[in-house]
Amino acid sequence: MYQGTTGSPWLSAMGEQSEKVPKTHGRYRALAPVLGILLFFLLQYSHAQSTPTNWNEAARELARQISEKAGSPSTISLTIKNSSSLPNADVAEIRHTVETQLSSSGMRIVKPDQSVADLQLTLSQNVQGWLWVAEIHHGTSSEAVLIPVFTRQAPPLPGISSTITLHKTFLWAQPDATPVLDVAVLGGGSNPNALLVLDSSMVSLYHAQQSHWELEQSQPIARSKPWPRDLRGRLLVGHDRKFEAYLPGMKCSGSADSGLTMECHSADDPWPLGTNSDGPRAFFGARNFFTGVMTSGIASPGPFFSAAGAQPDSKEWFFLQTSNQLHFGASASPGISGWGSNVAAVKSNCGRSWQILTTGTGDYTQSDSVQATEVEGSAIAPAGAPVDFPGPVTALWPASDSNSAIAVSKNLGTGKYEAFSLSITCR
Amino acid sequence: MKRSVFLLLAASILLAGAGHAATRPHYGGTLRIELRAPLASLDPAETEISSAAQSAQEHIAALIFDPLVRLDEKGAAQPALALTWQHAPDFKSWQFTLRSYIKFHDGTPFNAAKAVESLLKIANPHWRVRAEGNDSLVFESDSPLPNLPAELAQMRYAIAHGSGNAISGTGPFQVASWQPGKQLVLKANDDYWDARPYVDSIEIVLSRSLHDQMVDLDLGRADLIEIGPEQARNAVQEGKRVVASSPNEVFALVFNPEKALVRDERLRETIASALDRVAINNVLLQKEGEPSGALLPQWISGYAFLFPMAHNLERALQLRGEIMVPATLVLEYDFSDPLAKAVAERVAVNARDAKINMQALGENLGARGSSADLQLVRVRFASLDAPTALSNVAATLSPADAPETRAASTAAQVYRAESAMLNGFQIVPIAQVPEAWGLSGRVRNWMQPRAGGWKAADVWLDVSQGADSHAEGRP
Repeated sequence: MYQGTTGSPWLSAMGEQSEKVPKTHGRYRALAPVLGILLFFLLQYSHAQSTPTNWNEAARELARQISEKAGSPSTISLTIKNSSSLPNADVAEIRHTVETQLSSSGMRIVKPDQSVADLQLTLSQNVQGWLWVAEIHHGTSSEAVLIPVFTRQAPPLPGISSTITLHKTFLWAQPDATPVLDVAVLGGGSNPNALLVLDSSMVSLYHAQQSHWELEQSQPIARSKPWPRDLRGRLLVGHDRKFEAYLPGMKCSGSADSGLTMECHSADDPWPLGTNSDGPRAFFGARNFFTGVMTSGIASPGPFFSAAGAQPDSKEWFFLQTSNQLHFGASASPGISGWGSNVAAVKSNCGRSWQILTTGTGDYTQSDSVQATEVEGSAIAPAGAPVDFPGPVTALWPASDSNSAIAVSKNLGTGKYEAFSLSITCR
Repeated sequence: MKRSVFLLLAASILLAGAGHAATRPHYGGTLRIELRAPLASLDPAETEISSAAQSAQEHIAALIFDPLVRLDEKGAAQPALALTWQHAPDFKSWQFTLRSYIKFHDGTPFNAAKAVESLLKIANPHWRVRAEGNDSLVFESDSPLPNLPAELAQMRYAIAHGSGNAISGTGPFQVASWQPGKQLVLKANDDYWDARPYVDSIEIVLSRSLHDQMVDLDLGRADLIEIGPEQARNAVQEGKRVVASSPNEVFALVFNPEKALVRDERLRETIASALDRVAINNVLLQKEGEPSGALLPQWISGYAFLFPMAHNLERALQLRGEIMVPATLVLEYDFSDPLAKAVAERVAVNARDAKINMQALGENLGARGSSADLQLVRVRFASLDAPTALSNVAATLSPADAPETRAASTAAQVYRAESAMLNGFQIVPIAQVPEAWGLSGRVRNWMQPRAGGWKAADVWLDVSQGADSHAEGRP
């Protein structure tokens, strides 16, 4: 029976890439807890990417079929041609594995002029994954054997560079193509022990085990109307692990304290724009933008995609309008064109203590980047190098600790949504 | 003043990186499409003959109708109007559970009985379908149906209600006005179960020549036009925005089994050996296709290279010396397809290299029984699932029932079935070609599916590039 995939992707324990992570010292010391979180998830993610494909099974099947088709020749020559996107290292590994399996089946590998049978193995691929195509020439007969091989997913590695001020750290990869709207790390400090994931159909609570995220519980989000395209959602988590989830026309309240409980109802409550429930809020429309109606005495210039406070406790905010113009406050002056759609404020100990992160101006078919900017008064200027994403950033929200932001990106290579923590350190 | 300068500076710096990042989609506007096919019916169950008409029918049907399942970019079946499905161990029985609370555009509730009514219009002789309750469909067959979900993902099995001008679907767009062969106007389905499209409407002009389409794109009167694969390179060099699928059609020669002149297999092999597929691809297809001795392209099957495609004039001449050669062979091609004409004429030249006279004639293929010795046929795969794609090709090229093709599900079985089809040179593949589209600058979020088609519901229009005013705020 067809079933949607659920469950946690394998993360992992300490791995081979640990030396790539910069040490924390000097000015970084204050950010040790943050970097601890980053290190924890980076190591888990990087190890997951190095899990090798098991070629043995395919090689064993190949040897079996050759024996069947060519009558277990005592000697065989082997030529391997790579017509796929497999890297050379994998080709060498496959050669070794195939040779081992052929030998185990009683076939000695020899040069073509000494062989009873000749095997040309083409490492091919089709729409579904790798395909080994073996042409066996035995006497005057030739036969082809086709063996599909399990496909390894290989999303690009995220990394921490010691040379930039904006850090991107992998948190979560959705196991299927369901859009992730927001995630929240629970536990905090150097011990992030749980993750709350809001997607288009449910809120899920995962616990960090030694080697992977383990799904503890999910609560479905029942809805009576279709979601809008480019669905957006926001998670707001308190210190007591009580949370609120905001979706267009719906609000859910729950607790991740012991298990996961949640109740949802139709509501047009204003969404929080900051990191806590006391901050400014804005009403969200039925599509993918805020209507422009605000609470807390903050004025907006009209419909907008996202907003961020220019300073802590500031009454003046930057707005990225639906026209993709950057607008400061509700002034009547025209905004500045050429901006993207997402903006979030992050607290740091650098510069003026607060930086604003922005995404750029392509569309959902393109890779993306997030740029940190410095705010001075009502002015804004880029600071440091941007961090790149292998797909569009579809959500950018400030995290509950204010020291980081959550970015969700659709990986164009895998088609799956990935969540990252973005934080800033000083050089 | 200082603030403005600073903002401008910042904006200019960030703008330098534009085109490298993402903007949220905007709602509103009208997407203007032009097609050359004179499509006469919107009914997905009706069979179009020419490749261009099949293409138009598939693309337009996907705007109005939903299938039970869809294939993702890896060829795996995903839920559409059916949420789940299961099969008996022998694959002779399948049960599909349908989505609830879906309505056709005319307000009629979608249910199992309506789905059966729609599916029976195709009258597939290989399976029977019946409703079980309100939300369950049961398919049964005397032979295994291992590829049924992929088969049902094709647009010809999309679920429709009603007929003629009153036909209605459950898809992202609904018909606002329809002039067969001339113009179709669609408006967004606000209640679409898979989320309302970004654009408010789509206008499709039919029967528009490729030349006129190009002019309209240049003048800003169209957002999406067809571009022949052989024109794609030129269009890019002229600065146009062009997107293309992976190869989704195959050109092949099909010998007429009724014609005595081509009954000798050696004659057919002579012509196959004389074909210079690489030259056809390099010159006529401007390297946008893939020369191939296989029917299915490498990206779908993974084994296309196993079928020889080398130009072997020596072998052709050797065979030519062994056989009785007719005075002239007649090769038919679709008169409405300029690319087919060019390929057919090149095939005739290759045949003459092997000292066989061949005359290429443009005809309305499918309008009547062919009296030609062979035809140049252009066939759409209509699926990225290898067994289904091969079945579609087989249904067009070999009218005789081919149970081994229908029952194939593994790569090895599909390879054997394709080998059987090509054995004896009754069918000789030449090249596979992609579909290409020209886009205006205001089309955003264009995600070209590998197998061809449009994801029009995900497209949005950048109003700063002209035409529509931005409709905002209306839920």
